[in-house]
Amino acid sequence: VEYVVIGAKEVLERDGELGQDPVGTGAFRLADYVPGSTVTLDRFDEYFESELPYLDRIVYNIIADRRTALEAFLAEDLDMLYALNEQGAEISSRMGDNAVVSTTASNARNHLFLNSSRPPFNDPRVRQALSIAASRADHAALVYGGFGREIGGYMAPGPEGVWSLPEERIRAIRGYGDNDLAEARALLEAAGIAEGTELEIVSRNIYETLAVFVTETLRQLGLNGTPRLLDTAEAYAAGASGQFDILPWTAVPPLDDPDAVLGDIGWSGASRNWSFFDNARVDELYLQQSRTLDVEERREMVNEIDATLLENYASIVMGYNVITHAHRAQVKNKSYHFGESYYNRSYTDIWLDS
Amino acid sequence: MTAYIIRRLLLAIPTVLGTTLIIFTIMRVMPGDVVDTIIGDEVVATEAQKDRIREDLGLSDPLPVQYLTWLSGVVTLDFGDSLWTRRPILDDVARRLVPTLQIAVGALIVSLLVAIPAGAVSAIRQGSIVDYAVRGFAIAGLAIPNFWIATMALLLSNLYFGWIPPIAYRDFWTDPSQNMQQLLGPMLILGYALAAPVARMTRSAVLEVLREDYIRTARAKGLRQSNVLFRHGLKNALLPIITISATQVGFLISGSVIMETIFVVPGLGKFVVDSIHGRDYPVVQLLVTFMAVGYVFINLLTDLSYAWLDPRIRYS
Repeated sequence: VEYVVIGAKEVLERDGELGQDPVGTGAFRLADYVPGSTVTLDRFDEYFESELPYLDRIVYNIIADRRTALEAFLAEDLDMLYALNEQGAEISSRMGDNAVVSTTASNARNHLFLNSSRPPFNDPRVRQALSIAASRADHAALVYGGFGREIGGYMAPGPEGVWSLPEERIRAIRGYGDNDLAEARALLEAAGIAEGTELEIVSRNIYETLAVFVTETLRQLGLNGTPRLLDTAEAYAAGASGQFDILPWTAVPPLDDPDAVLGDIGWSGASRNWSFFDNARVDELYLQQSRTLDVEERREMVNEIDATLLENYASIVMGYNVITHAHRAQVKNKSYHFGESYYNRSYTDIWLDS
Repeated sequence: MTAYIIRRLLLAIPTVLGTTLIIFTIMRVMPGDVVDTIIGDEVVATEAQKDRIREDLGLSDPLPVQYLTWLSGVVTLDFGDSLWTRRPILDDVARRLVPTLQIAVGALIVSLLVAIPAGAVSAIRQGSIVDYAVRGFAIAGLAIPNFWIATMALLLSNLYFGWIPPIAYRDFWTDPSQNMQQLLGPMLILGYALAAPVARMTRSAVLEVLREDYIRTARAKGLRQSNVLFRHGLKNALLPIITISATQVGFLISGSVIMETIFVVPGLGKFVVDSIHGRDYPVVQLLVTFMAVGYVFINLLTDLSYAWLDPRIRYS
């Protein structure tokens, strides 16, 4: 279970669900929702901490176009913005001291799922070749706008990620340190992969840059691949049915917890085991760690799972993104923490300095 | 005329029914599962849990049953609930229809106000600097993408005036000023894009009409140039202009998607696209059905307007 929703019994009995009349325990309550436009929250006067919150109202503006959102922030129509990484510099240069721009580590990572249920990626050498060829630095520059972490395993890297495999152990795995095209080509040759081999790359249309990066990496290896970018529903179907060779994907496990991460993309029964990777030891450890209360003992198991997945190139972890936040200087006491943008939305004790 | 209208309306029934069947089939054969997209990236669900959600959403019935259930709902004006929000679809459609119609009607008015005079003047002054300017204006409207003009409008207005249109939608009756500030940009930009082909069509239609014998006769009678142009020329040139304007209604819906996204308007265009991406079957089916009905109605109006403009045309 990754989410637990606490709701009002009478609402559930009346509506049959909780979504239409949300009841929470926070410092604000829903005042208005205009689909596709705004969500308005008003101060909850009976909040258990009597002086909080300081703000009377929060208005979330739903802005799909990132440029429009940026312009609205620059025009000071917004107080806060969850920005693209590359927008941080523009905000700083155009707003100067009027804006505070910061980045925090996140659990959002890019995986290359390699379909190990069919050739050529059923051969570990081919998977390894791709990992050795794929430059993590180029990936961070192209896909994360020059930000992000280049090295990481299945569990988010430390110090923010508390279950991470130590970086030196990850770097010791071939393909997670320096990239070497000659070595990668030699591995492909040994595996009998001819130059010009066509590979099927499938991804979500919102991951276009990542798919382009993969295509370019294949080109450097002398392989061909044309990305097929699908909308969300179609891409999920392609992933689940294995209609691809390479599936570049951004995964954002909601928690830095082994059950959440490995249950989603790690063990053979994972809902997104789109590499169709199957390893009895990983499965055994996954189930075992889930029932282990001792933290250190559990960490050892998780590290072993992580190392096994990386060493077998179950999928290739390309790196971890950061989240760029910006707020106007008059917004006080706002801090951000590791996770993702969903978790950085507590406004209970922030205030506006007039 | 009445018999003609009734016949056209009766003929529209199989057209609309065919459309519903086609869109229902397309939505169901498209790869991708609405349950997967609802669950999204961050929740782990077993196949049994997914099946239960599917059953809750009414998607486990055989397809013909699903189609007939939905169709009988439409006929009885029960349009069902969104698979995503579980809210009645009609509420969302009604709310989102208003800004889209505002943009569409505004853009149409802007385009006609700009294109018809510009095209007519261009035809009268053929080969002059005005003619070249109008043609350049029209070609630019065809060549420059809407999204670029919209983005530049936002960027430049912010850079030079420190202002952008409001980002929160308010309906016209609640806050007319904010409503118009937000919607004026999309109206002008879409209106310009629409004006381009209409201006070109107006120019060529007026040029053709001005060479007709009856125009020569009107001039020979000593009528003023304005009378010749407006009473005899332009009215006869309107047929192709109306035809092209009517066919552009589809462009207004598809073009409004981009405008709605950039100007943060919670309209119907973006709703359609989001619903297709989310595989919100009943929403897409209803919206496409509404659009089909709209097209049928506009085509009928266009055909009827021919008879009004040209007395030689008679419907029986």
